[in-house]
Amino acid sequence: MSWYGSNPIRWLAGLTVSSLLTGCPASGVGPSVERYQKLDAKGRPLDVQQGPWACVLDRQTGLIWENKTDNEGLHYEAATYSWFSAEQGTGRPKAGSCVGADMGVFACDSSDLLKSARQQQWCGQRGWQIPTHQQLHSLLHDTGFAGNPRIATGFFPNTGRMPYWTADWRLGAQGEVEALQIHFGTAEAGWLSTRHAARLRLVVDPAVTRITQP
Amino acid sequence: MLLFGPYPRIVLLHWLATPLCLISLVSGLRLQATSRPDNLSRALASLLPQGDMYGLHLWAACGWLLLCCAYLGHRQLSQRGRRRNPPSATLPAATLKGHHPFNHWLIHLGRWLVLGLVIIGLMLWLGGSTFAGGRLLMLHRWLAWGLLVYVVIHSLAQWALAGRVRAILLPHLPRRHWLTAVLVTVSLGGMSSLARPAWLWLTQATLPVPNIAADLIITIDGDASDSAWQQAPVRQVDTLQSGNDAAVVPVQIQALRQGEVIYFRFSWPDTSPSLRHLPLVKTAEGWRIQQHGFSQRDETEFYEDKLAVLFARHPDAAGASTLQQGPQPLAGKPAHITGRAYHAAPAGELVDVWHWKAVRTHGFNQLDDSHFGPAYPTVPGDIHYTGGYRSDPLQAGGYAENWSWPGDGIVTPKRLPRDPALLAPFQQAGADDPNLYWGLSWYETRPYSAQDDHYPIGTVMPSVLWKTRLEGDRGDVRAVARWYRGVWTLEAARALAATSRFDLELQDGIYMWVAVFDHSQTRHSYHLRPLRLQFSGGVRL
Repeated sequence: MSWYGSNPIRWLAGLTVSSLLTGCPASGVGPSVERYQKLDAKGRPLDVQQGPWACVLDRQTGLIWENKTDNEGLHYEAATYSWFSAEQGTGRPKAGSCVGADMGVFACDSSDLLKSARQQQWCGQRGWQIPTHQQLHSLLHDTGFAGNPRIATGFFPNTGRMPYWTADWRLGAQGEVEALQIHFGTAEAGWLSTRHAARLRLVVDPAVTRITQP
Repeated sequence: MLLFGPYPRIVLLHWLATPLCLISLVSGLRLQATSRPDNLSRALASLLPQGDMYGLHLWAACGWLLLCCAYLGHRQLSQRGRRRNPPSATLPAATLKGHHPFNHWLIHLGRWLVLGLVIIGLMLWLGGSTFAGGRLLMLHRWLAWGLLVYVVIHSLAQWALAGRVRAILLPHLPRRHWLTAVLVTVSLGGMSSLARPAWLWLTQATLPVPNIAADLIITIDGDASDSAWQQAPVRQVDTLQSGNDAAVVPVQIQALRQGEVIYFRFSWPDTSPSLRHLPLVKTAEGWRIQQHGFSQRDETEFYEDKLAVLFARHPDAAGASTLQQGPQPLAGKPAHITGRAYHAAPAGELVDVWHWKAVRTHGFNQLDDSHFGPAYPTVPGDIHYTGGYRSDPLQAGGYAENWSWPGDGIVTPKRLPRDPALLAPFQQAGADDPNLYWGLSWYETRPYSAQDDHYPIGTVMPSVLWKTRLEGDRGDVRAVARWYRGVWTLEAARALAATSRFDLELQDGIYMWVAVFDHSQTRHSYHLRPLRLQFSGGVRL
């Protein structure tokens, strides 16, 4: 029974101290709600009560994150990508599974999503990237309920308790390219061969983009 | 206390009655403010306590019962003493001055008021809030208001006729009795706390769970004509829907055990099945959600029928003390949008909740397995905080709402049918068509695009999108319901053992409650006293 307690003595104390003297309930807004800002598809800010939104600005890090949906298409939550860097020719191309808005299933990799994001300038940004481990790790948030993924689900709905790719890669013991992924069900990081598929959430650092883009 | 003289005993009885009176009144007022608010309870709402009000009210009721016993003891001793010593020899002069006929009459009235409230309270507990069609509950409320008025008049009368109100309070209690008085007060509080679980245990009702043979077939289809059900005793609980649509909803319950599986049947009357669930309608501006209170979490028209079944290890009133009433009953958590109540279990407790939903889980042959845990932390960005209530973890499947973002105004549907003809049955359907479930398969639709949206103004479209059966902890309970001739019948089955950390093992001594939602989002009927599962031969897992 919160401050009132099921114990009547606690309740009486609570009534006296909290209700009669202050009479003012707490705001009830979580401590981290100010950290994030919803953005529409053109990058315009939305109120926390508004939606739908396409991206999320993390005021703490300055990063802008792609938002996922449960609708099939470019931002489909359940799409999985093989890890592939077209610039470096590293990783495994076209070994993931994506679903288009027409419900057609096709093979895809991380460079496909990057290409679309940059070309279409999601949320008004060009410099979309696969997040580094440090960047993606900054999104981890324990909601207190094991059924939720470890992320602020109010801003990042349609997140799976699944592994998500980072940009960090290495050559594994067998000489295979492996990339680091973070599991949003367990919050654990681990290396995974790029021949396998995982989910992917893109990020853009507007500060870096402003410097590098003329 | 019994060792005191008559005057110190009267003082002590007042000491004890005053906080009990305060606690009973304010907790009762909160109960009224939540279920059937009137102007007075609204005006006092900011001063009223919040939280487990039934627990507090019941604690005070136990205190009153003990106080009544103490009062009878006092009367007995006083009568004996009066024979030996006249009142003038034992009572202070100020008290004797109060022996005016009006004061006598008033005190007599007070005794009857308290006695009436205690007896009616007992009847309400044993017979349920629906006892005598709810009229007894109304009488309880009126007598409570009467008690409040009485306290004021009694105090004024004491002041006018006996000199001072405090003549009956602290200053005239001989100092040698103070320690004893404090000990008696603390003891009564402790005894009330002990009396509450004892009272709950003594007044519990049971639901027998007979064993049936392994070769008997029970089909989970919402039709309870299987012969096996004839072996199960029927128990009925009368649930009370409070508020403007006050009604008594009787729910009949049966249970059977077959090996490691338990089966339940629930039947309750409903004049019409409500199978529309927040449909969308096309207007000149765009699509809108048909609703009157959805955005305030209080839709009572365009909503599906539901039934909730609660299982808990403890029998505390109204769902094992999980009903946390008031606009902001959970410390440090958001205020409730309706200002009525959250559900949250005490720390370390779990209440298993089976939530059958007529439309959203239709076709899955499952109900929505949920739970009340301790109040969850707020999640940044969540627009609806739900206290300790959550659906159990879902791996895949389930249902979705057909809008990108909810709102009172124009909404963009998430999806449109692949074949527009799929919407034809809904255009002329009656509000209570028992054969039309207002949902579409996710796979019969595709993502919304303005190019596909050629539907004429006035078109209605379901907002429920069925994906596939619930996978994971959330899908642990098989269930099918059927509405036939004014009665919903729900059959449900689950393994006795809990396979999820959000489920309870169903065994001897587990308590259960039911709540009926009649085309209502959050308002539901409920009852206070649980049924205790009683397995033939007992089951301890």
